[in-house]
Amino acid sequence: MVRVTQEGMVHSALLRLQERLSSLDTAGKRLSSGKAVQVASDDVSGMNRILGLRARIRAGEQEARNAADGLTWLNVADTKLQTVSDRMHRARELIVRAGSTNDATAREALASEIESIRDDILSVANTKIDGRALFAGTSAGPAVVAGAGYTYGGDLNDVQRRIGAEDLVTVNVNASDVFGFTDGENLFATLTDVATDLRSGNTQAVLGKLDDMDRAQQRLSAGLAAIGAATNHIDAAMVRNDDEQITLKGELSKVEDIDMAAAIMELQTQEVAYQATLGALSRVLQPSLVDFLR
Amino acid sequence: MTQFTALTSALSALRASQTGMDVTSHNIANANTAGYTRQRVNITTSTPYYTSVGAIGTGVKITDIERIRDTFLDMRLHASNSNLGSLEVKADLLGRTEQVMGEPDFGVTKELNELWAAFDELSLRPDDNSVRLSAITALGTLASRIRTVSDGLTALGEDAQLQLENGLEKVNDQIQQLADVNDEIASISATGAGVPNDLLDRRDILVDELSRGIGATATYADSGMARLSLNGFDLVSETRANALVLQGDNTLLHPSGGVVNAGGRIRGFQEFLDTDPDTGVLAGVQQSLDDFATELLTQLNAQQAAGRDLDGDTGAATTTLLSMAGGASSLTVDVTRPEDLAAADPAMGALDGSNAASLALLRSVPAPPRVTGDPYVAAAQTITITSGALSSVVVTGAADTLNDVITAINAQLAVDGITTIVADDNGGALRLRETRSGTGIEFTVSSTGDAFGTEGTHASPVVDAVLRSVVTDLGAEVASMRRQAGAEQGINNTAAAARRDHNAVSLDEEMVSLMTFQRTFEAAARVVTAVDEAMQTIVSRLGIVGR
Repeated sequence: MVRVTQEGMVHSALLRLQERLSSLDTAGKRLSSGKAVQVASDDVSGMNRILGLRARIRAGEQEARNAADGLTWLNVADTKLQTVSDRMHRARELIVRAGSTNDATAREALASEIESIRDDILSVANTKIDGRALFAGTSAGPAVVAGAGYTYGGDLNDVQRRIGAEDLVTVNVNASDVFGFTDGENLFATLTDVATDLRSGNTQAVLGKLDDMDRAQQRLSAGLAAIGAATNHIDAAMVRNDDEQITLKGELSKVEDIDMAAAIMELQTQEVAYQATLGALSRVLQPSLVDFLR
Repeated sequence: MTQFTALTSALSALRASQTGMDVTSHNIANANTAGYTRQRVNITTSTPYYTSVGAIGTGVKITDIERIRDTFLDMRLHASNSNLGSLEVKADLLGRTEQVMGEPDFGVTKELNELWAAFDELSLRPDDNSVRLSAITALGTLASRIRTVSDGLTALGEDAQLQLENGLEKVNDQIQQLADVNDEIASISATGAGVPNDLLDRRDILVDELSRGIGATATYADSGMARLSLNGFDLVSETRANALVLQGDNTLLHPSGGVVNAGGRIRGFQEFLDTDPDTGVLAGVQQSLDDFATELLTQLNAQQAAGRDLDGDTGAATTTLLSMAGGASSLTVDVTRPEDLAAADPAMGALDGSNAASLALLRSVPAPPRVTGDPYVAAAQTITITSGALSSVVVTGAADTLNDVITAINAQLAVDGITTIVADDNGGALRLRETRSGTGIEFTVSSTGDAFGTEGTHASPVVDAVLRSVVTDLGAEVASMRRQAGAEQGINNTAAAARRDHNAVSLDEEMVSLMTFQRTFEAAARVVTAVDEAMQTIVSRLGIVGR
């Protein structure tokens, strides 16, 4: 028969109490911190997942910022180019009207309006966004240098925004593509020529520029289409990014956070167990033969 | 048979009962004394008295007062003590190491995520100095966080070293105490008197503590003196104490000149502090942190050099982002001027931010593999120069280094009548350039098999993953050590409980023997009275018939 002693009982009782109290403490800590994994040793694969998810979520937040920034670029470019489009329609109208106007004063008025349209478009082409030339590629700008002629001051590089791990989108169009700077394709030169021809009364030459204007309008439309496509791309990516963030955060919460109901139950179970141990011990440890001897 | 014999045996019973009550009361008094071993009076019948009708007993004799102790149970506990001592020290120190890392909320991973975001932000506004500054700040915060963790590990090591020194001091002190107890035991044995059981208890307590402290085991001489030894070396031999000396490399020197392999807590500290990164716990973590810092530095600096800063500097002319003189604790940010961040791709315009985007992309896409050390060529590889007017070059011999390859290629080039070439490392692929100026012909080198084998080319890991594995590897080690320590604690508890159940005082038992001795005492006293009355009859009543 195993010999049982008071000292042995006290020791094992203390050990059991200690175990119970430690489980109670763990349950309490989990509940108060709300975290199932506090250090890597709690759950190694869980921690690996947590770190991965946190990095991905942070990257996703930044990608959303990148996308929003890209969208700003595209929206500003879109608005600006729409005004250019309006102004070009007006210029075309004026050119058509010039064909039937012989009055020198009226032609002068048309010429100066054409010039003012040209200058409007020039100022749009040199639009800045956050202090940076919008249509000058990656160069410092300005996009269009107006001197003796009109030349492109920027470069042909794309400005790109990373809106996903593998998703780069170009958020600029450059003035060279939109306004054209080769001979005969230069919108500014065309408008200048129209004004000059109007003043000199060369109606034939003025009407001859209508083709140039149409090609300029096509280039502009192509630019606008590119902007629209990129905008759609970013819009879709942002929606996807939002969805992904929700999924990732849900995943993270699943790994990282405790199940509140389960944790409360666990705490109560541990509490009951601790009290039961205390109760049992107070009963077991008390009686001794000493109590029954006179 | 005489009346006197009965008196003598009653007296012996009285004495035996008294001694029994004395020992019982000593047991009860020490029921809560740590390390106390219960004692028992052993009695036997005394030499009988021979008469014509046979031998008649003459009462009871006390043979000895026995310590109820089982050496086997002690040995079982001591073996577990040695393991437990080492495991609990390591589990505790590893847990603290994990806290120093501060993951996931206050650690390096968080700052690293912020750095990637700052680079991304820089790619949006490469022309904005305040954005550039905040990228530099993010870099600084990350470097400082890495340094703090590294310094924390160093401080933890210093603390453990101090604990090791204190622990050894305590062990040496206990070794001396045990030798002193042996001395006392020897001097009492010499007088012929029995060795006091309580002195033996003191001896056993010291042996218990030494088994946990340093994993020593004891054997006992008949005299009661303990001989304490540790993997073949005597720590206590009779009355001589052999204090151990901690050497510079944390090994323990025995006075005899040998190096003692410790167990117990001392071993836990030694293993934690082992400076070999492959075996030492702390050195391993420190090394993997250093490796991470090196990887981070290499990849960031390479990407920085691939870009162009606002001053127009490219390649080697750019300021490096990070530098490190020794380990991770010396990681410093080199770039201080916002203009020095190479945000632009050299092929792009002044306000390009694509190199900053590439910096940020290092978070998930590994840098190209790079050649480190001495590239290695396996035996007899055929190397064909594909874009150049050369016939193929055969390199023979085992373990040729890059230089051998170049020598062989140059030999072939000399045959073909072309000037010599030099080789350089182009992001992992070996690129051979003709030294002849102006032509700029580049050769690519292909080979059958693993020409510039594994020793030379190192695939670049994703920095994030390197860091994550530092954290999770440590976590796995902590968890495993805790499980081991927990299991050993269970074994230890069982062994301790078994010994306690054997050694410790049971009050019920003592109450029963107290009662037994009390009753025996009362009965023996009654015997004395009975004999006394009988004698009185003889003395006063005999020969007075008819008076």
